[in-house]
Amino acid sequence: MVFSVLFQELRSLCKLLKIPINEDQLQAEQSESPFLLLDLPGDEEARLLVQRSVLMKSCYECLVHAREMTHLREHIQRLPADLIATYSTSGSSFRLRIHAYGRKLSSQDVRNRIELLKVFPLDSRVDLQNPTHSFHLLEDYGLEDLAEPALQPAQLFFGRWLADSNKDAAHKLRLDERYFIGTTSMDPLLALVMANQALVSPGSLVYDPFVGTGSLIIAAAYFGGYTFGADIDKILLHGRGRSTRAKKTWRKSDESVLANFRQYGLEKQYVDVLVADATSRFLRDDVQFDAIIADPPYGVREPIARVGKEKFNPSCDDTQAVSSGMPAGADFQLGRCVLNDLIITLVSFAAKHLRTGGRLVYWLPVLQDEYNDSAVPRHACFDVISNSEQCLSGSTSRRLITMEKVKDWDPNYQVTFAKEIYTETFRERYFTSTKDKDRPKHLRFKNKISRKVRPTEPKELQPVTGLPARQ
Amino acid sequence: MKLLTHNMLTSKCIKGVQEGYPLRLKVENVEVKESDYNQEFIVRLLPKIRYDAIYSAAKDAGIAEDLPDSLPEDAATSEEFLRKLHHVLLEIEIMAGELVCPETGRIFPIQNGIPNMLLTAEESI
Repeated sequence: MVFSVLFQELRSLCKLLKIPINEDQLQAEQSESPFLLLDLPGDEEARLLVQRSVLMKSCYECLVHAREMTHLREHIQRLPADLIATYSTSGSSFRLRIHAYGRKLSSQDVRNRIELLKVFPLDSRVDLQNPTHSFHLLEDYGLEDLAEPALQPAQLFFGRWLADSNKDAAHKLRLDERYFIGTTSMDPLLALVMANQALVSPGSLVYDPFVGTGSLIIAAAYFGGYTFGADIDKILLHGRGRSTRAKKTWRKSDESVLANFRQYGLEKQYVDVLVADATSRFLRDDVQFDAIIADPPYGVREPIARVGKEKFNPSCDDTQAVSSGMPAGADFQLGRCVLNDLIITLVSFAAKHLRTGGRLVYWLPVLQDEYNDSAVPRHACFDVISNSEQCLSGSTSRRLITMEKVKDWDPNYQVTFAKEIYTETFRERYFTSTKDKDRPKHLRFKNKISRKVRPTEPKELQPVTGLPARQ
Repeated sequence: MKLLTHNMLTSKCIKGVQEGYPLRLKVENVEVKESDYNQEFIVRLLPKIRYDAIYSAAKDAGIAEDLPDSLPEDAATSEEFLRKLHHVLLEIEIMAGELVCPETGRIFPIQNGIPNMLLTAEESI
């Protein structure tokens, strides 16, 4: 998944930041190298691009690109004098740095390279801590065999460092330190990638119809979006119920999506969360968001629920009703819902409630042996911008779909997709794969101690008892 | 719940409701939470909001003294008005109360600042 999603992020950010790129250069980039050579308008654009990215590492102005170490010296010697002059204006300083990718250099190796780089005719003073310019030699030994690295690099770059990326953001938002999490909280790096794919910028109105613990909207807020969310699970949104952390029993009384925003100083970006069914029309028809980001329930870690009678979809599966759910005495009948209903609803909803130019970014769970591109729902309002796969188990994956609204909504437009692809539910396949190696590891273990793995016969819904009193 | 959110909500999800907008507001507990003023953002919101619903919700919440009863002509450029709008949309937090459907009287409760828009199976379309 890594490289295709990296290019997708790059394309999205160039669109967001209005940076023209040469698409041919990207298409030509077939090898899985950690280096990408790209024409960009200037320093400022390169910095903006990389600093917003969470998948890239850093960017440099490329001065020399060589295929062999022996050519490096010649190329450096041939750098134009007026270019060098711009780096040694009065009072400026510089330093040299050496990086090898796919190989560890000894300190002698590093010293040899510094010696070689003395041919770089910069005559300003050296400052190792805080230089005006930092020049880096980057050696690419390839990712083929990290145990026995090649002796010669496949390519080398010598360039002026411009900026490091926002990779750290994922670490700042890491889940083990987050105040309020749940079984389905999204990995922060993926949530940030989704926010980038959705073109979230300061002032964007962003909505998540399956907000859960807010793990997607927190990433949107990090990039300046004003965020809303809805979830059918009232107990979860109010921060009640069992904690999903190891060794904890019940949640603290002040866990909530808002508490997470406060934790990261993003409270200003939190608008509201609501308890609501994503399939229900509780929003004004003309409400339009700039971005909708979603991770619809797959029915694996949490059952899929919606309010409604079964007649809505006669081919519903056996997914059991939500257990963490309804306050005692409520008469909600939780209907059963196959995954594709929710996806259809999501795409229809987004077609209506996104502004033109706005994006829908969501995960589509698929069964690998049945998937082909006709499984991705289509709608006349949308162009599919990207579709990247992440494997979950031997036979299941999820696909990160990015769609951009290019046309005004019309009630006659329908969502279309190949129905025959969704013959079993994702949950059924995930839990009942016949090959043991296909089963997720945690389940093979579970199978040893319990026989209650396969979905059982449909049950009468029982009244919910034993929940804490309504607050 | 903020009044910006209230402005987007409708009870049209209930079977038989024609418009369901705006929802009436009954406030039991309200807090004021300061939030940085972002003029650009408020100006961007102007075409997205229905001002009459903001005004009526602000009246229901007892905070409409400063607000004009209709959107002024120079709304997009009047910092004085935009700051008032910012205050009403983003700094008022209804912690407990009710949203009421104007056609059926059906109540949607607000608890801990979170409105509950769930319907029973019989009520939904």
